[in-house]
Amino acid sequence: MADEILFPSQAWVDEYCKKLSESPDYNKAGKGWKDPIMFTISDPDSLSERPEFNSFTLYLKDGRCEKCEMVRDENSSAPFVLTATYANWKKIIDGKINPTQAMLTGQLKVKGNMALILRYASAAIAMVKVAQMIPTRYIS
Amino acid sequence: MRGFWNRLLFVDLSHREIWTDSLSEDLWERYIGGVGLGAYLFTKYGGNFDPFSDKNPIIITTGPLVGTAFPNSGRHEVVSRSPLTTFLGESNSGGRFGFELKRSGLDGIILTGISDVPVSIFIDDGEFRIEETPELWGLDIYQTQDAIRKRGNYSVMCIGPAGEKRVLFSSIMNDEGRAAGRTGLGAVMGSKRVKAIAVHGKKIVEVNDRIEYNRAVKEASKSIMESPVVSGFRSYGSMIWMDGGIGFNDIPANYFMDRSFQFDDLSSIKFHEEYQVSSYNCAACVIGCGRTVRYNGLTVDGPEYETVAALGPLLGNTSFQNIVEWNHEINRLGMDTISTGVIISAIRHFLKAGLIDDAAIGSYYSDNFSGINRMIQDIAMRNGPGNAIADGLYRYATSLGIDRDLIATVKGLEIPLHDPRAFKAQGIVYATSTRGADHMQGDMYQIDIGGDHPDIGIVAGDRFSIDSDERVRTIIRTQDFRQVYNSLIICYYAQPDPDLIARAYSLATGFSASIRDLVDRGSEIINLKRKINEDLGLRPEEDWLPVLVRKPIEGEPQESGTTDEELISVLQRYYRLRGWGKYRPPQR
Ligand code: SF4
Repeated sequence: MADEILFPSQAWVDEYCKKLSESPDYNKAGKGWKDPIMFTISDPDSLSERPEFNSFTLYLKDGRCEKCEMVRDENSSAPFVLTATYANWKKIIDGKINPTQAMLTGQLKVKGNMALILRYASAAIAMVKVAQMIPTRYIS
Repeated sequence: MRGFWNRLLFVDLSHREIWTDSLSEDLWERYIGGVGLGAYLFTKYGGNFDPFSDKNPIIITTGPLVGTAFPNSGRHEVVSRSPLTTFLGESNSGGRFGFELKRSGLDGIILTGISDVPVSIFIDDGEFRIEETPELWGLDIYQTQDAIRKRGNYSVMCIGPAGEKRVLFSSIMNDEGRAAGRTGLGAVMGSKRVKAIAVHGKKIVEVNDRIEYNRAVKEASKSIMESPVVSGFRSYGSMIWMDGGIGFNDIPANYFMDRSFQFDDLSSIKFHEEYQVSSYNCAACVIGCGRTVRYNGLTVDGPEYETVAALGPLLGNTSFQNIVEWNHEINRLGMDTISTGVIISAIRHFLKAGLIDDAAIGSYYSDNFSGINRMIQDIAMRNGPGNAIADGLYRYATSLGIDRDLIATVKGLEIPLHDPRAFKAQGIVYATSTRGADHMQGDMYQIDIGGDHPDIGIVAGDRFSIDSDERVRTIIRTQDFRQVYNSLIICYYAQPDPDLIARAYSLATGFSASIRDLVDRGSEIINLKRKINEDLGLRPEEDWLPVLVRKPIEGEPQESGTTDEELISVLQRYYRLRGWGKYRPPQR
């Protein structure tokens, strides 16, 4: 599996952003969404290999990913911040927990308008499906 | 024993007598309070009598945590024989009434008999009296509460014109628009000619260990506030489920027929952006899901999730303006918004499907729903075609020969707005609940999302899987746990760690109990309610769910449906695990 890309890494996030824009499912389900979302790993120190960054932001607009940004500044924020442990991110990406379910049970913590993000449940599912298309290597 | 006064108020309306009495300590411990206590008192003072007879009591209870600072405990429970289902009726409500009643030095009220003229009952910090109040008869619930509040700083529970006219799904309202809405207990109060009960209390409820209790209260409040959904409830009220539910296909549309509805039109976000909305809390609540909204120059009660879903997608209406107006009218007249919304949606569907051919009924429905307000008035006042509809969906539809499988009721109670095809275990709760189709007797939709409690045997599972002992055990335990909430009484939106609930109960009462002990008592309460229902004529085949809400919706997974065979198999397991004997399905 030489082509596997480490999650998280610049290459993974670039690929993800590109694939989101190419996904007809996401293009449709994400229509009307306007805000950047920051994705954060809450427990980088507990991992066997320290990732190069804990957070990245996707600039999502109307079903497309306009750009992505690695976040290295601890104090950065975005209108929406989704935070989970590395293990929970893995579960979400692997489809083991539904993202809406993860938000409602606190496995995925939401900063921002909860109702708005719940409303885009089908976009969240489309985003998971897109993530699953990337051959991913996880930190063990 | 602390946490109770051991003082119940008895009101014999036929003889205008009023007195207090106590119970032995073991009964307070065994039945917890709230619905458990109410069911026990029904076995003592009620029975197989016509719901509108002088012998059918109305029992109003509080619980051991009510009147204290325990978060979200400001509630009361109403129990009686339901004229809608003909079985045991129960409904609990927030606001301040339960809190004030408990702080007036009473644990509950038992009304028996029938008054010859309209009366109201006044409770002033432990002093009580019956007063003739014919001038209140005919007033809506807001006018009634305003009139009584002019006489003192009261929390008021009352009925509206619908209760007076014995509409079988009329509610008992309190503190503006809070409602003991389900099972038609407003009609029982109307039959007794009791318009209102007004209460004011300022006694401090003694608990067994004040210092530790206060600590438990603090911990519970913190634990509730840490829940991820609480911020959503605070910002958007229960209506947030209009946004959260769509991800699970939990919101039914067009009388449970499909999902073809513009859900964006009724988003809780849109509501809060477009209307002037304010929030409020029930007594002791740390969340505050209550909403008021400015409408036509008035401040009126804002609709909750169930109401928006019933009067919106279920009916095929996309206008918030309509929902705010109808919600206000239904509340004002004193009816259950769930039952009313389901009935109006059902009749619309029956008309469209050609199952009803009646011009007078048809005139209520137009493309812009302009006749619905008139329909609501006619139902509440039992005018013209509204009279037959006022007897509830089951009676109305069966009188027209409509197939039972198309009628959205269980035991005569209209099905609420969590779709059994989204969470199949919720359907089993509807089928088996003692008060009929009911999401407040077991919240499987929350459990299967992941809000489970494995320590007490409540384990989240696949929302499309129900037919195993493991799943049925979770359904049973969830219902038992809900009895604990409905007995203490706590609002289910507040979900502190269950051990904290047991700790607070033990510290308040001095009865030592673990959460497992309390859930076991919850199970006994269900068995007691079941026994009462059997005495009232319940047969196993009434534990059932119509095909309407079991047939998969086109385009949704096949496994979201529940066949007859699967339902029978699950109910057989349920009966075996409950020790209820042999399950018998309905004859087709
Ligand atoms: S969460 Fe809502 S219903 Fe529950 S106690 Fe608070 S205000 Fe009342």
